Amino acid sequence: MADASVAMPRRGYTLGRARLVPVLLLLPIVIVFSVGYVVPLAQLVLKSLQLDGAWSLKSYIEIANSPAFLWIVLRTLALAATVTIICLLIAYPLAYAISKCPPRPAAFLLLIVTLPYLTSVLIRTYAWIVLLSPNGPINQLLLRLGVISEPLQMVFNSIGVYIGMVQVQLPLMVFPLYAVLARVNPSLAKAAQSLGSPPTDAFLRVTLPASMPGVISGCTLVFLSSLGFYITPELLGGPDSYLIAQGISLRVLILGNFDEAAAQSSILMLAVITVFLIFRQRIAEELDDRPHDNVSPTGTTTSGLSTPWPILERLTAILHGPSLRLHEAFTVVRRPLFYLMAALTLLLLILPFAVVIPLAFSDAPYLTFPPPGYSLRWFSSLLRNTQWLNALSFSLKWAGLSALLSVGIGVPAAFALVRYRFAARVPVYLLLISPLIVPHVVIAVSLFFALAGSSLIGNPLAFALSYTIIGAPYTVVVMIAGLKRFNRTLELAAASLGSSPLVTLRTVTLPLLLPTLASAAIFAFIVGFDDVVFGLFLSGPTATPLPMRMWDNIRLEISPQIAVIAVLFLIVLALLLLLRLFVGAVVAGRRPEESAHP
Amino acid sequence: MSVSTATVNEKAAASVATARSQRGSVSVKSLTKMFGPVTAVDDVSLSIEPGEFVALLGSSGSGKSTLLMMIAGFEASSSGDILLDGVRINDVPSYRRGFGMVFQSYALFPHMTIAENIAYPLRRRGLRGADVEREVAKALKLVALDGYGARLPSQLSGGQQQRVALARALVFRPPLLLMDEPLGALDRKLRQQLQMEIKLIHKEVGSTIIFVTHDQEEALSMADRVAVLERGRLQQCGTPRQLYEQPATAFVADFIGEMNFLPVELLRSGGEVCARSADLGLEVVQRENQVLASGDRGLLAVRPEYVGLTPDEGSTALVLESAYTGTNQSVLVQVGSIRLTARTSVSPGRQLFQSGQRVRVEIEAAHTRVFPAAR
Repeated sequence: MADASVAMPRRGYTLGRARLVPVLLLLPIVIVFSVGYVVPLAQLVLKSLQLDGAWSLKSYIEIANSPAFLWIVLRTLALAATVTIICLLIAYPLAYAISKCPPRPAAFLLLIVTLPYLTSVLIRTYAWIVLLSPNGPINQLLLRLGVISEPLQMVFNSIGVYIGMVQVQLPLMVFPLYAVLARVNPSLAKAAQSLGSPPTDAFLRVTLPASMPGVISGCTLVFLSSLGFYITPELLGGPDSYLIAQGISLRVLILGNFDEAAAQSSILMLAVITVFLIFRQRIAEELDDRPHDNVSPTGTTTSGLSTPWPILERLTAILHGPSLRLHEAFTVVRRPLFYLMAALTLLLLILPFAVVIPLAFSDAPYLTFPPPGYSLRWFSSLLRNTQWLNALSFSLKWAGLSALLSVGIGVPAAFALVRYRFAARVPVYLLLISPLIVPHVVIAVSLFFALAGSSLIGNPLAFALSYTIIGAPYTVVVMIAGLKRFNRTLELAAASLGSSPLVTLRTVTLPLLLPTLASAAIFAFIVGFDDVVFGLFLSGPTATPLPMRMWDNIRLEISPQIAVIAVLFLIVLALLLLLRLFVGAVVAGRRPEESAHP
Repeated sequence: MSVSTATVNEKAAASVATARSQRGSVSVKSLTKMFGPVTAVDDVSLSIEPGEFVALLGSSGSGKSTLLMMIAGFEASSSGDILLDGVRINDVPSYRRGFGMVFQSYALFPHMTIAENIAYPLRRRGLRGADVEREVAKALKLVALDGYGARLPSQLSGGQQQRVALARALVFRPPLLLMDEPLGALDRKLRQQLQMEIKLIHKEVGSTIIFVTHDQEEALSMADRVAVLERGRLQQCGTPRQLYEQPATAFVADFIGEMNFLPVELLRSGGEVCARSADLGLEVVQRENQVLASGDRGLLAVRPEYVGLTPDEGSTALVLESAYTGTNQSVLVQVGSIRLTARTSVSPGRQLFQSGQRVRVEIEAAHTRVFPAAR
């Protein structure tokens, strides 16, 4: 994989001076990433190793001697691991069910999974506060059913954090599982059945092993993302469920203990990067254009049969009859059970919307669910509040500009990574997608330190830079996927018809990639528009993005105002998705009437 | 780019004029392509006359497509020359070579109408307005798709899409048309129909055509000459009849049509080689040549239609299995340690051969060829 230049036949124009082109294509993104990401992170690590200008490990020693910090680390690890396992268990049936659906229902179900993923974490967390509160709908339901006699305390403690985190991370598990399961040849399981496996046995022996790559990527993503998560634990947790990311921001924003914050950030970042690099093979596979062999034989002998332990072999031989009957018994309940689990997972994904939408139309002056009556009072209060409106326009403007910038630097980079073979290809790819994995708290703290003292704190430009750093990886990933799907024969055809590479790009490649470009821009926009963490560190009196207003509202007064924002956000999201569908339809050529003649 | 219409039209006229003159001879000299350690095309030399229709025939991995891609300019050669009308074009980028190309997947631009697709190469050559419309209409007429200009590729059937691809590749009158398995994605009946259409269009436009296929029937029925490739090497290039009747190598003999290979002893004396099969009681004598320079074992190649069978209860040869195909009957016969297939014509009133029947086997020496045993 690393040295792909030799093993990759018939790819790319081998004619001409191709060496300089990828460098030029990657230059813009590498410059932006150096300034806003690599250098600040390097400074952060250096800072953690220094004390008053001299080399010192004092910060680390202090941390190591602090039992409180160790507890926080353990709690964070336990939370990340538990959330990962729960997500895997409940996401698998859903991903499997979607992979078995015909294309149209599958696309619809994937949209339902995508919707919460694209919706601000802040909005979802807000919904969970409402859902889980002592007089919230879940407690009310349980009380009415007589399951409990007094309300359960489910929010502002670890239970709330776990529930919220699972719901927030679930899409990250469903996507890679679905991607792999959809590729598994359904004939394999049928073949296993024809060879004597009952369906559940065929699933365990064929489908499940074939889906392992998806399990690994999903778990890696969820685990890493959970390690550095900030918003949900901060809002749903109580004093007993304090995590690393919270510790870091507390040290920077409240205690002013920058040295320890730098050290803790460095530790968190190194831990995440280590796990990331261990699983990089799986992640870098996204770049690979050879067909995947999902299952490779391991531990084979000369006979070609794997050799399990003899005892195990004998045990399975004895249990063969009963286990076959068990599998057969299970076959009857298998489908209903599976689809029930899938349906419950879907319910979990959309539950927040079921709360947020009615709440926006509440006529109560305070937060209560279900609303006693309906009105548009919270919509008009939003329109009358210049603070909210200013924040909204700030966010729209700077997230929009950053999205354009992300596309501008991410698209050429994706071209370089997909179309050219060069030595640094995989490392560059890993660097460009790493902001997806390095906790935003760490990046934000490093930028905060790098910009400290300059006029850039509280300056919109700092937001533009940080939104681009977290948005560009999405444009790179989306574009790489689009370019890999792109039928390059069309470019060869254009060349054979007399188009130079640039003309081909203008007349064939870019027009056909327009839907992908739209997706990339939408992703980058939403990532910036949703951001809270950078806002915490970089906001100033003249630069307050919308999520910061929402954050303050949730922490200080918690009113239905947030639900109104959520509804507006959903409307904007729906418009963006419609726009994306429209662009796709135009490019796919469903427009029989217009442009009849050349 | 702003070019005045006057010069543009002159250019177009010039390009048309040159295409009509005898342009389009292609030759390839010692062309080699390496992909890392793998040699995909190995020292291939081939010359193609203007207006000739040549098929590159081979199984997958034979290097036929790589050879085509090098001629098209999509793949750089490792060594050797590609000449168009005597001028070396190895370093000319594909978009300046001006060859038409038809792809297996059609490669129609999905975001453009049929007319826009066909107009594409004309616009790249600076044509505008009425000139474009006229040429597009002519091209659509050529492939019998008049009136389809406003549709989109997705609204056409596979066969229609391939005809559009052909029109698009021919509309700018290229001296050379390259076709990469153009009919591979179509069903049998449509394929045969399009084979005929392509031959007719070839007669009409007179471009040189290089046509890649793995279907020997297609190659033999369409091309003036067929070049057979195997593992990157050119095995033989000749007319369909030459390939069928005088295969140069055992590979070609095997690849084209059906062939029996019978192990024979080779006995040399006075510049002649005698191939002898004890089981068949057969001796074939031929002039010693380079191919048969050494070795005492060989393979005698004979086509099933030259294996004669007559019922003979006293013979040791036994019919194992037979298949009736209408005009013919294929019969698998065991003679000593040898198995061979015969094809006999079926005439009314004549008995069919039955398995278990004893037969006498006769092979016409004039229709056999001898190859060295080690293939």
